[in-house]
Amino acid sequence: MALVVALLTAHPAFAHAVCGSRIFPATLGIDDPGVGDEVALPTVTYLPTNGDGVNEADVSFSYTKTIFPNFGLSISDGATFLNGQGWGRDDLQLNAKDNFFCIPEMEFMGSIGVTADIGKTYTNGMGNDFNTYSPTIDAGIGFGGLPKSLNFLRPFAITAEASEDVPDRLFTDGGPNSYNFNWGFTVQYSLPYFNSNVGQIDNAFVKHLIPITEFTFSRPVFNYAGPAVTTGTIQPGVIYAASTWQFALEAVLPLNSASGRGVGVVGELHLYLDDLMPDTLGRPIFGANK
Amino acid sequence: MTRLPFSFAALIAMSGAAFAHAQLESASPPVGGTVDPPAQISITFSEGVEAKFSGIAVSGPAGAVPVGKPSVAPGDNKVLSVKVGKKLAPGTYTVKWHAVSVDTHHTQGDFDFTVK
Repeated sequence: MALVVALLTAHPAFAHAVCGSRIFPATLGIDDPGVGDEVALPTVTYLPTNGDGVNEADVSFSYTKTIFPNFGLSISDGATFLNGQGWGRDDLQLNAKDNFFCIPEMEFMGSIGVTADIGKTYTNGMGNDFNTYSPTIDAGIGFGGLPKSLNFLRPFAITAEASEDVPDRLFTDGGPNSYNFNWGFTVQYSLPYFNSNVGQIDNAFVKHLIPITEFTFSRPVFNYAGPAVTTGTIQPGVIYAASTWQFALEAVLPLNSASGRGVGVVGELHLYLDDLMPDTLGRPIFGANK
Repeated sequence: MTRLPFSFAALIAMSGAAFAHAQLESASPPVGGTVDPPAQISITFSEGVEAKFSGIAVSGPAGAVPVGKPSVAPGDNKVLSVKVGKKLAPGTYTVKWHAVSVDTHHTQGDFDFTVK
């Protein structure tokens, strides 16, 4: 299975983060800029036609454990169903991530990390035959620092991510295993932020919503066959963020025919373990403040 | 699907008793509201907060406004209040708050209200 398809359809689950007055929710297309104890279970994706022209459904989970307050390890896995081709387990993915800065006044934070996609994790799996290592950088900034004259813009936030896929083997069965550059960003408008900082929202449901659009892109940059084509998705949707969990639902619009056809959908239930179990699973193993 | 080392159902069941980041649910005066001069500023959070480690500061057209020590309502540690030390003149005021929830998570924010 082409790596690019795996990247577009895996939809690993990501964590939420807090910096200053801003709570960045867990997002589906790219990672958020923080590190926290969390579990996404499940993340479900449906694509009417993926980049290989096949009807596809995926289900996955992700679990993140903080080792230190700003450093965490994640494990992600799942399964893919391809209509007419059967189903199989995806590669196991392991991730290490460090939230190396947060400037509270600017609601600005960033993280670096690396993800290892473990090839041949399962016999007859849907994953790759080789390992792929992806150094990644994430950043996010809220607009809360804008002047009060622009109060209605302050709930906006932008997060972004860039990574490079580095396969540990250049060829499989004579075909090249490409190096890919991946990037993406989200634009989000936090009604919880609006309720806390701009104007009171009396509707108990609406004040927990975060309308969001995510953009993800990938392009082969080295050791690829044929012309380099940028693939990607545009994912408009909404997140309902409660105190200890969130639910996200997004449409998946392919960027071009190489990315798929038709409108897919991705949904995820995400639990904040740092809030659910602050004294046990939800606290760092070392350096907890309590 | 790989089994996780804990029960998903148990997590959901626990969510009602859990603590979390204390987020502003509502305030008096209301966030962005227009009111008569308030005698106190109260913020209702989504979680219980520790008054000792939390705070509310108010500033207005004439600078900082004197306020009392923050306290939580008897029997309801989700409500943090300070008494306003003087009658506020008409104008726009900014409330800056920070809160430490009972499980030590930190949150902060600010909002304006207008005295008519």
